[in-house]
Amino acid sequence: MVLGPNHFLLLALVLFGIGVTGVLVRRNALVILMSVELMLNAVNLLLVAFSHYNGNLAGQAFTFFTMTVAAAEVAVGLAIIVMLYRHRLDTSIEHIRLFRH
Amino acid sequence: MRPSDPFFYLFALLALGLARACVCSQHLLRATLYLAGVLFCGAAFYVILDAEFLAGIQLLVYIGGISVLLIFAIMLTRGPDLLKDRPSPLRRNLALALSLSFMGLCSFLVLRTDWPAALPAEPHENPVRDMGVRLLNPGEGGLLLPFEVISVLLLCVAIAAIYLARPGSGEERPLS
Amino acid sequence: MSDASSLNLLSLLPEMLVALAGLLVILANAVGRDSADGAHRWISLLGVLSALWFTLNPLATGAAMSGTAVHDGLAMAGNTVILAVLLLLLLGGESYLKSRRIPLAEYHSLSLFAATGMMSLVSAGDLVTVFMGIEVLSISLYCMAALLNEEEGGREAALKYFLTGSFASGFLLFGMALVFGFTGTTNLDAIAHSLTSLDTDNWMLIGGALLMLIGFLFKVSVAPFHNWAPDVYDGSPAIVTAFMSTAAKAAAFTGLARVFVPALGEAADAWIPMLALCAALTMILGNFSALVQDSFKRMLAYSGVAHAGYLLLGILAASSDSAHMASVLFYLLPYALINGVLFLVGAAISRQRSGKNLLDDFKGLAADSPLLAILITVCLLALAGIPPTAGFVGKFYLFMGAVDAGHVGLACLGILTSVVSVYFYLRVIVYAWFHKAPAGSAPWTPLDGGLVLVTGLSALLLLVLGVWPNLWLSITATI
Repeated sequence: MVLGPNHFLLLALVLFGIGVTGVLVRRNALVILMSVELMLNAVNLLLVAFSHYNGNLAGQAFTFFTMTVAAAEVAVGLAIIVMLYRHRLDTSIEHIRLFRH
Repeated sequence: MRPSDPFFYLFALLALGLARACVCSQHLLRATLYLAGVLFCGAAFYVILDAEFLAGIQLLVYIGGISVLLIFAIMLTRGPDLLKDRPSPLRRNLALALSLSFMGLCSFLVLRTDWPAALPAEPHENPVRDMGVRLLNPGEGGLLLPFEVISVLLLCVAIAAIYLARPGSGEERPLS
Repeated sequence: MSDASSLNLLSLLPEMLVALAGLLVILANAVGRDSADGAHRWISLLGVLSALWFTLNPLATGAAMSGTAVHDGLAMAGNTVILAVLLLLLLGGESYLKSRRIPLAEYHSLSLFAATGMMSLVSAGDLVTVFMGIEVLSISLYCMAALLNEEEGGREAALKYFLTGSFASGFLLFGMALVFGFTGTTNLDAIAHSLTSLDTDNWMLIGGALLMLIGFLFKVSVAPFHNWAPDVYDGSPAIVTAFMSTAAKAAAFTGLARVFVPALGEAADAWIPMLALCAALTMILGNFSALVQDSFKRMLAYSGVAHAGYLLLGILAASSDSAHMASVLFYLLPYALINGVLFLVGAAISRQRSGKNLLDDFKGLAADSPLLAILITVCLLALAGIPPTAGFVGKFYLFMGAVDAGHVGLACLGILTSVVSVYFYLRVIVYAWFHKAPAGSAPWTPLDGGLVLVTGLSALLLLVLGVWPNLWLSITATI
């Protein structure tokens, strides 16, 4: 079977789904951050694949932007988590009232 | 079938396995390593898709930057010890059902979709040059404005990260 | 109008001025150290005022930078709302910033950069610009929410805001990728153009549109994606809450309108049912949750959720006739002004009483400061949609638009829930006028003059726009 966009679409979907599950299930801020990175990475894969099969570079250029944003997001997120940790000595969000449903 | 096709399946399996391991791992440092593995597989996919430049960026930014940053944060906060993070079975099953149904629905829809027959990829003589032109070109198809917006974003992040991480910020100071 | 291929830098002047002011604030801080405290405010004021001037009297309009930005009526109205909020916070927020020891340089530069992001979102002509605008505004707001990190609530709010926000960005981006994959372009005009020739009954397009919608609905805090909003609004510093519940929401709504109404308008059948369902859910949940709150900040947060529902009605109407876009833009201004003022004034009043932003803090306000009580009453009545305020006119246009577009049931629901909402707005007014201050409360000290001034100006503007809505409607209707 020749590789087509559907292969990459399916792969990206499953990776994205794993990331979403991670965000919903895990209660540790760092792991949630990693799961979000998984989601963004799945999107990047999708963009590059579309770019390849559509025959233009727009998707690759878009990926360039999402990578920058992902890096920026991680930097800010880690700064916030480290700040929170200094006060609580814990990165779990279990006891944060805000997150209980 | 291109010679690269078997590699796709190999890396796809690897990426899925590592992603699952990353999300389920009870060990923070191992989770980061699994994540780095997934990101490495991403770079491999980019090579398969003829985007070697992005593959390079992926290795530099994600594996060289983000993973290292994550490891730093783990070292700074908790140390690489075990997490006491056992989600309640209800929550676990609910989330699993939700995301499985999301994936199932989407996959079903994807497989039903008739693709506009995959266009033969336009051979770019020098894709790196073309992409650079696209990013800095104010003309047709150029993305100069968002590129400029990136600089604002990075400045924000620099200011905020310095402020938040500065020793003394967030210490309990008496309010007047 | 200039053609799409030219730079058209002049139309980007407001954005550039705001970003420049942000840079100068940092520079002033580096050069002046501690003596620069006043300079931050003056630089920001100058930047915002000049940007506002060039927004209302643009030197150039139309597409800029090869269509990645489009300065039309929508952008003009959106930019005006954003800059008006900034101006309000600059004039009225000084005492709050000082009393809570918020770092001035960081606050001012981050708010100006956030505004730059909002303004590029409002005038975006390309999915990449939309994404970058949203990210700049979100990331600077995550940081701003963390500025008051002396208080536990502030730190937790920042983390919660960050985690939900980046989760939402993932959905938004996935939707964008699918839409790009289907149409082969990221330019909004080109997407609209290609959808006229493609079969829009395609799962990839519909999935992309819905995922993007989820991302946007998270950002504008629409039910069922609103859970983060009350907690984040409650925990963040009041001045940051005032900023994110008004300017950020206005920008996200304008961006939503830009992406969905013109670009994905051809695929409207796919996303209208979901939008209608969310609007109904939001109006019900927002208003009924606001009923039971004891905290003024949380009450306003839930009322903000409810108002997002009313604004969605306008977007629904605009999807059948884009002239109704004007009603969304019209309502954004009074909504933003009222919320901006109320969060600030609420914090200032609460500081003199319990300090916990309780509704009870308003008891006896009329005896202590009749002028402030009158101004707050006007603002709350406008929020409740009572004539002759701009709030009434705005809601009237929104509901009429929904009726025009055939969403009669939703319009009725909107009117019913607004009636419910009168209760919790009136409750504050009753507390202020007919209750005595709790025994043993400290003597009243007059509020900061700037804050009273912006409250007065906003109340005046609400009344003026309520009687002569055309003053603002004529600007929003130029789309």
